Amino acid sequence: MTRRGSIAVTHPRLDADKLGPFRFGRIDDKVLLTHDTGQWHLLSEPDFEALLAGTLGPDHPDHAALVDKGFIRDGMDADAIADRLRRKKRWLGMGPHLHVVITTLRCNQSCKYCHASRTDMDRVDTDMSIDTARLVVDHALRSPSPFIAFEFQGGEPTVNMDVIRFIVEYSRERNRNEGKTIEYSLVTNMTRMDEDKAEWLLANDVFLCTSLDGPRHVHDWNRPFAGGQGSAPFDEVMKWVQYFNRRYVEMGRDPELWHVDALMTTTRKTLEHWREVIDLYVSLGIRNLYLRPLNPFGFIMKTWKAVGYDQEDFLRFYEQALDYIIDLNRDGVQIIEGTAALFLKKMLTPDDPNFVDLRSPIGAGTGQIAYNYDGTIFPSDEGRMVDAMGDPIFALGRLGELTPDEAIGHPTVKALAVASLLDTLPMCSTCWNAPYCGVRPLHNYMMSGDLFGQRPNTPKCKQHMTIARLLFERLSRDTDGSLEAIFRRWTLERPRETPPPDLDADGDAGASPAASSPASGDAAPDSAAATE
Amino acid sequence: MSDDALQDEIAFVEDGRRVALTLDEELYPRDAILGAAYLFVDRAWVFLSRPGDRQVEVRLKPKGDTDSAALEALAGEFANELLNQVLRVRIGESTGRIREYYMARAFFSTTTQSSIDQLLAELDEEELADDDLEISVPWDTPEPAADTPDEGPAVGDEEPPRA
Amino acid sequence: MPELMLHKSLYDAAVVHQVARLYEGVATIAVDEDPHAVTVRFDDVDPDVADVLVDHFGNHVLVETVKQANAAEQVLMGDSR
Ligand code: SF4
Repeated sequence: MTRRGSIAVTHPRLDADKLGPFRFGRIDDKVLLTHDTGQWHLLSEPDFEALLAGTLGPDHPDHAALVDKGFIRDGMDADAIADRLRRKKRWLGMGPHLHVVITTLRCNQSCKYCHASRTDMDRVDTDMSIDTARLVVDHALRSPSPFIAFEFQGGEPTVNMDVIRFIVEYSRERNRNEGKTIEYSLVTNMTRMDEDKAEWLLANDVFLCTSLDGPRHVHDWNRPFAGGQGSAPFDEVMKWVQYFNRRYVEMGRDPELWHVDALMTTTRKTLEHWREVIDLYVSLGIRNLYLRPLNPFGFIMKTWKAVGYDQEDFLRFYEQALDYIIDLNRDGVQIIEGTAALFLKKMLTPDDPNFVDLRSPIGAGTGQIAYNYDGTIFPSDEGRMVDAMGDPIFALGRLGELTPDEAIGHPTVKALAVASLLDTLPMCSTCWNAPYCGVRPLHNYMMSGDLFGQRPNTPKCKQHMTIARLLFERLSRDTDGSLEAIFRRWTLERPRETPPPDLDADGDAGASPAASSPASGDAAPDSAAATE
Repeated sequence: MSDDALQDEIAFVEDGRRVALTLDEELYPRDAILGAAYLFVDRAWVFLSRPGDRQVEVRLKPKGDTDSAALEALAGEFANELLNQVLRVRIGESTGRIREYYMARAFFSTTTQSSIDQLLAELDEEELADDDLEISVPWDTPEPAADTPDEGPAVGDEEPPRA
Repeated sequence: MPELMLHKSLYDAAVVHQVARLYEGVATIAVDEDPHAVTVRFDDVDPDVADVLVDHFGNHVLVETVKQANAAEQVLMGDSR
């Protein structure tokens, strides 16, 4: 049986010639306007209608701000907007700064969600050689970027400690002529750590990032030793996190800047125990908790049934955890949620964290390069993982054969850039979240065989939209500005060698040295999010 | 040029499994229809057809179970999103050249417009030609450009409006 | 044998041909074009996908059409710079 009806709609009065370019969406009962520069403004519906009709005049309290941000045309300073935009996107054309080095595929753990294509401990043939490591450094230092971050990944990278030592020492030596700023970070499960390695890492300022999935029963369930040995990976992580953090203090380092970072991969078990996970991080003095969902790479496809969950479940967990972390901050605990902090840097500061996976275009090949143990070059570690699954489509070439210029100009790198330019993508091009967002062509490829994907059907879109919405909702309800002060603290990224900036009374960090540090956000959490 | 607020009734027909809306292309440009349709591909099978000249039918068949009430709600959601898309298209058309200007200035060393003043003068002329009833708004002389990028003003730095 | 008529003023005809090629593994597909529409006929449909084939095809063509339209718009913007 068919039924006919009609929907009454009202097209608002529009005087588009009085407007600047903007995107808009709804947050609670307000309209959110966002600009290419990242500036934003919340208006009530009646005020939005007045803006559209061209009747929101200079006597309106928001008028001056709307002009300054470029939402109203009359009085807009387009040249100043261009300057802000250039500052936001200053990483364009800088070249790869993040250089992920797979020192070995060998690993002594067999994590339930492992997508890092591990091999057993007797597979010494999957170790990087010193000759290959030398080519890695030569390639990386030819990047035009003045900031270079080497990140050691695996397998378990410390299994091939010689290569880590070589890359740090050789790149320092070569950098005497190059004059770049170089950082080193190590993503380790800590289970192969010993005092000799630890003291060398401390002495050489290698930042440490470990995997910690939660309390013992969660961590050890997610990350058992290969072969089911009886000992507990959790105990090793605890021991070494405490060791390093104690040593930083003994060395006179500011613990706010110098501490072990940790990454958590969310499995179904984490969802059940989320509060315990956060409490554990807090008790260990970890400042940055990065709530990461599982990604579609590697072995996870096979074990999804055991560890996986619905997107909706993850987003519910994320919201609860975010609010709990905010409450902890209100009680004076210094802990931030990593993904939220990235979005907030884009929303609340004139800069961009240059996080390779949350930018347009994506950093694969142009902000990041991954070097496999055998010298194969990939635009990102995800490309390397796709290769490990038997699909070599993202391999760019080999060290010693492919020049850095050829790598950046490679058709695959171009294709990834085109597939991640939000201005050209349906839905993204008009989405209010576009100034803060980024898409993941390799995820799309893994899920649908197509770099572009269908936006409404991609989990990353829903995640990013939800996270940005949660943040704007909370800012919109922040009647006394106390939450904004907390969020602004989350955007602070201080260089480890300089003293802390003075915060003004509002906790405004906008002019802090870190806010303009192009290297900020390039340390371990950046890459690990991309690769684990 | 100002368009006055306009009331419209969007007709729909549903059969318990799918709902079809008939749209007048004068009011709903093709780009807006396509933009709205795209947003529904996660929830519905979407099909477009032309029942008549300047008319577009959008048929939505939900991917899961449905009933009459859900179909009517879906049609309402589509109509809302369509209104948003119409606004986006119209604002995009009117502001496209300003956006090109600041994009070009930000990212390319030379721009096709010699200055923002020239662009604005051109836009003003077009505006006057468009609508002789409209009183043209003179473009203020732009403020001097902001400081060097690194010292520019903080973004989103105003207090968020308080509820 | 299901059939789908896609109006050329709404769908990109070249896209219809491209998408049709992608579905050749699950059906025999014939594409006919006249000045106004592209008609796609599905024969020998794999029974596993019979229920949803046409629906999937319709969404796929829509998505690719929107993608093309967006990209074309940006190329135009680039040209005018
Ligand atoms: S990926 Fe989704 S949330 Fe991000 S800009 Fe695109 S449409 Fe918006």
